[in-house]
Amino acid sequence: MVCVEDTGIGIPFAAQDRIFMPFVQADSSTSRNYGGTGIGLSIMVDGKPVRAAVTRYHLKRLGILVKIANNINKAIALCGKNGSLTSGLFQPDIILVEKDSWMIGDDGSFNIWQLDWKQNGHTFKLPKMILLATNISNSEFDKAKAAGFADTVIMKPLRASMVAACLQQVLGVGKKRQQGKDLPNGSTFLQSLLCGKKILVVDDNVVNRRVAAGALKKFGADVKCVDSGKAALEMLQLPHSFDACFMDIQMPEMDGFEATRRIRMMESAANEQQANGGSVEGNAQKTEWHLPILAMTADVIHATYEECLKCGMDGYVSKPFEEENLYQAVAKFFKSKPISDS
Amino acid sequence: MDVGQMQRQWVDYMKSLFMEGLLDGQFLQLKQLQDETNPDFVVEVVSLFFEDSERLLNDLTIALDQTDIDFKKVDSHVHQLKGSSSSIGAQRVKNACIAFRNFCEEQNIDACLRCLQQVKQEYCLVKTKLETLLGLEQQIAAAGGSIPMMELSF
Repeated sequence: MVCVEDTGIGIPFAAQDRIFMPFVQADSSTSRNYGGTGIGLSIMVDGKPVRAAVTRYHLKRLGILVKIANNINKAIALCGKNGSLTSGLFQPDIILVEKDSWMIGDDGSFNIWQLDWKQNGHTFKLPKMILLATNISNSEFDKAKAAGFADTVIMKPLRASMVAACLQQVLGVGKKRQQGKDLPNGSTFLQSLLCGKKILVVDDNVVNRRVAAGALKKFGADVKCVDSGKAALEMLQLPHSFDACFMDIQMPEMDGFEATRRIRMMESAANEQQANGGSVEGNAQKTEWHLPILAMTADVIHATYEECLKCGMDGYVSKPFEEENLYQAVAKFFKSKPISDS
Repeated sequence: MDVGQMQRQWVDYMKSLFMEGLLDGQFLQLKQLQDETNPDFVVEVVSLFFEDSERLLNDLTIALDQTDIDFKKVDSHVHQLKGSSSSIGAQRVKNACIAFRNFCEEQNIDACLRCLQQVKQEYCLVKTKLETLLGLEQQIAAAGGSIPMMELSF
């Protein structure tokens, strides 16, 4: 596995203006990261390029990718004047605004823009606007709220837990989960990915099942456990409502590879049927059946990985789960929760 | 003994378990999975581990007692035990299982029997220690105290 890290300050400041020109690269790795954080697209408005670059770097380390606009009008222009999909280049989920950049451009442009959006009655949700500030007075805060900013401000210096808490509050990410527990930063994003997802855990060992289920439930997943490949096949008869499956490899009678092969066979049979105009009973969906199946393995050897892919698995995670590992594996399938869910 | 003393005793005990390699970071992960909605998670998982291990050790003893040993079966049992001990962080049991599996591959009967002894010993040790630890936790809870958050910082 190769890991590439971008330190983030690769764009010359002079060129930052040009990032927002039409036909700019739509980077596929970017979209995967967006999908992974649960935050979606973000724009940050900051008139100071150095500060903006630093903030961007720190946010990136938290899994939040932002495009920088150096003033509000630019940001608005990006989003399109009236929320229609064609006029804007991006459909951001959040717009972060440096307090002093907003203060300078305080001509009500945001207000106008928001009104415009709402008046056109588009179903697209207005992006949430969040202030970034090192300090803020009560009156500034009131002004901000009047202008439509969220009622939490992200304070600088950025602290991961605070950013996460703020975003959770504003975006309603992870609200469905049982509350009250202080999770480390990465967990917040795993939570946004796994929350509400229906997951099948297949392992012949009762201790492993319990631990895997416990870990997944912690992130808000709805977990079902079975103890064999055979039982898994029964649960996964189409149509089913599972979002993913974690499958142990070494199991008696039917191992994980065989179980996966059979699941894929069931899926291709159903997909063929659908393609030919038939439909699986009770199924109204048009997309093809493909359940993300991840192998759970304690022996992460190259050879095993090849086999996993050969039989149709989508990847593997180490057993017992390591958060980082789990996050990487799961981020590939689960998109960010759309704001409309909150 | 007051709550404070019990808590300190708990911390020292936990530390020693890590120092001696009996438990590893995975055990701490388990503790983190426990919360108000899942207040007995650790006790449950540990109990499952005890039951499961005893069954497996029993099966292993029988399997190695046969005149014609089925090493595949033996290996399969050891694999199970390795998995579950790994899931709860019983490090020394897990390591003993790893060694055991190597000898299964070689089909070395004597070495396997020695390994079985070793695994049994490690299991008994960690079982006793965990029972003591959980007992201490119960006492602390009964006295109205809370279990200190443990950080592996050594």
